[in-house]
Amino acid sequence: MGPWGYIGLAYGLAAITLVGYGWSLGMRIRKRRARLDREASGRVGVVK
Amino acid sequence: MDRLGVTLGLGAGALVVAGLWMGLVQAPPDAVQGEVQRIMYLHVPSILTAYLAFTVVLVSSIGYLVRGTRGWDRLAHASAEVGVVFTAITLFTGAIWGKPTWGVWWTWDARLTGTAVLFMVYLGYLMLRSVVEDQDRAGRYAAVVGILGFFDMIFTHMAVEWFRTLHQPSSLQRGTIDTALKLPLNVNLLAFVVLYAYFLARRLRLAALDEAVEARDLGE
Repeated sequence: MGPWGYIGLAYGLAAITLVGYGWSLGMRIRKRRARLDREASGRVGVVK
Repeated sequence: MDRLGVTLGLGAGALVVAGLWMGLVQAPPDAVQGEVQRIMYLHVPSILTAYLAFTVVLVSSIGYLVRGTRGWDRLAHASAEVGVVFTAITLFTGAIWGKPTWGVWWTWDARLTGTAVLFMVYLGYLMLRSVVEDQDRAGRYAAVVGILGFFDMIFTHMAVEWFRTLHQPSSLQRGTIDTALKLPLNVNLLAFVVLYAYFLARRLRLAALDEAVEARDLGE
């Protein structure tokens, strides 16, 4: 592998790691929000 | 996303693009290593950002042990998780850089071994938090690991001065780096620090939502 092959591998893996972590944080936040919203709307239904 | 998150995210994105351009296009190749030295613009900022993250873990762990407030614990937990991500980047970019320059992907030299141990310590920190159910107890145990891990970080950083290592000493610290390479390095470092702040803000948001879910579960 030439120097740009190693550079591409390093930058590519770093990009996958950072984007992957950011995506995972976003998904976890979205799931918690959806759960809280679902439970909140369920409660409104009970009160009615 | 709140205003702080958006600002940090946009700032990090812009700085990463600038850092990529400076590191991959604008900076000249190294006189000895040639083009492959450009991996430095990822490798060095990622470990320095991990050091910052683990210093935040140290301060907030002490804060939690002294004050006992959940805010300190949340900050330590969030910073440890982000620090592990940056340490992982340091490890694999180092291995990829090592192959063309040293001829090996990995060697058990003090700096490399110390960094691998550092990664394991904070991975253990995260695992400990997930296996202990009582949040206060998990926070106290993790705080102790977070404080001890900081000493491994100091050892790892100083290993190149204390031992004969294949890994070179810090060019930044010794002031032996050329300005043409130092400027792109500093821009990439700033990009990683802002990215760390963005991830930390998002991770703290997640922790706050987790607590809201927990409080609701307990209330029912």
